[in-house]
Amino acid sequence: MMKFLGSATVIFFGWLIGVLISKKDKFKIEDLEEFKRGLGIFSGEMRCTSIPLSDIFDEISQRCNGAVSKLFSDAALFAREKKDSDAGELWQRAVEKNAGNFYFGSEEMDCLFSFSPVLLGHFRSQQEQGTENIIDDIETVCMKLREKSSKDERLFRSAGLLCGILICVIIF
Amino acid sequence: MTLRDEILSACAGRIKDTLEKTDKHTFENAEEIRIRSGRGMFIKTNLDELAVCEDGSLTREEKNIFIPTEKDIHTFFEVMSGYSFYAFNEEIKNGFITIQGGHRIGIAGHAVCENGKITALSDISSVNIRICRQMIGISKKVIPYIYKKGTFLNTVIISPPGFGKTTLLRDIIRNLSVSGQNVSVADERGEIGGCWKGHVTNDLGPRTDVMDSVPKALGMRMLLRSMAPDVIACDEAGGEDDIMAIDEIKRCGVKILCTFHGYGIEDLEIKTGSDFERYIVLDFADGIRKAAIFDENKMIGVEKL
Repeated sequence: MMKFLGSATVIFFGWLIGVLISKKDKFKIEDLEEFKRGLGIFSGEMRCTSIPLSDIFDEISQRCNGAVSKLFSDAALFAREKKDSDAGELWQRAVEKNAGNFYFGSEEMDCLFSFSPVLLGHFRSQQEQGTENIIDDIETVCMKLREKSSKDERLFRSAGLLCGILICVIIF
Repeated sequence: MTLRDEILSACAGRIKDTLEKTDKHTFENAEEIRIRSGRGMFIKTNLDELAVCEDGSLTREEKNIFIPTEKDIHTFFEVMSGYSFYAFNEEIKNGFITIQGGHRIGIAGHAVCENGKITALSDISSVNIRICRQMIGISKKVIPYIYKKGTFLNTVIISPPGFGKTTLLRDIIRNLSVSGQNVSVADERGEIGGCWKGHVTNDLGPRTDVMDSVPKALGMRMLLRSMAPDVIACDEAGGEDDIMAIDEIKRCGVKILCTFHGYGIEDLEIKTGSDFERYIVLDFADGIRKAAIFDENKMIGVEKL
């Protein structure tokens, strides 16, 4: 009985680890989608309200969730501190501070960093165009991640399950 | 927040560091702070213009003065605009932005034009901070001249730049408002009300409504329809459309209070052809500001402000 329960537990946890690893790409997609939503809000606020950058970042922080919310909240704080020489620099600092809160790899991090030169644009049209370009990039990255995720999901689940069975065979 | 704190809180980088080193009384009489890339930073008072040294002292000589770089000006302007260039697009095309407290930041640099209109201004090389100062009570001596039998008269303030037109206008608005008149202000540059995020930061009295960042003519017409004012005020009118709007307002029976650039009534007549009931011509020499008040025909008084 003990052997049976032990085996079941090991197999279950093997499968669970597999599921969690397979979900990693989904978390990335969720964060990227949230960031895309933030950029949409940025574009709309910039076009329609002309409020200062710090206020826009605060607004995005309130309307978004998770790591993206924290990222924009820190950027708003940095904008109020007025310690950075330009908006690009303050965004870069906020991304570096929050890098640990995302599951991102280098390609996804590039999406975050690419907002930096957009903020340096002197004109609304320039910034709007730049934001649209990032949104397009995010969609491309998300599409790739979705394709990868659908392939990897079954693989990692099966691998987790098999690992669990293998451990049981070795132990028991 | 003091005037000094207000200016310093908007500055950044080496420019802020150098201004912070200046004597705390430096800003008391300052009218303008001019910053020129590769040339220097100068503080203009009502009597003098002095260069700022690296150690914050002021000098008339050109030795050891603080020389701002192009990057200093870029950083300064980024921070001054709250990293929000997009929010000031229209103002930048006109060559200035207005910051919290109503201080006007004039800029010069590389202009990009399309079909004869400026579409962008980049590589900013010179900045002029025009310090906005409230002088409550400055209009006290002028007020009796601009009323007739308890009724406010259409009034125009005329002077060259830097003579205190806006300061006097602001105080007259405050007085009218305190005396019970509903005053509507078309504040195109945000200098009169010192508007920040739509809120008036200068004291314009309890019955004053301000519409800021709107072209004067458009703003005056909107206020006429929407706010049922007794008096409409605006600063630096002069465009054809402004004059047409002023004439419309006068025809509607609403009183007008505005300012014009010029040296005398003749300049105003050449520029506008519009008639007013009172003309206040400002003169400023040796630190003394005088106002000469005229009716339609003759001078009716001179007052030291």
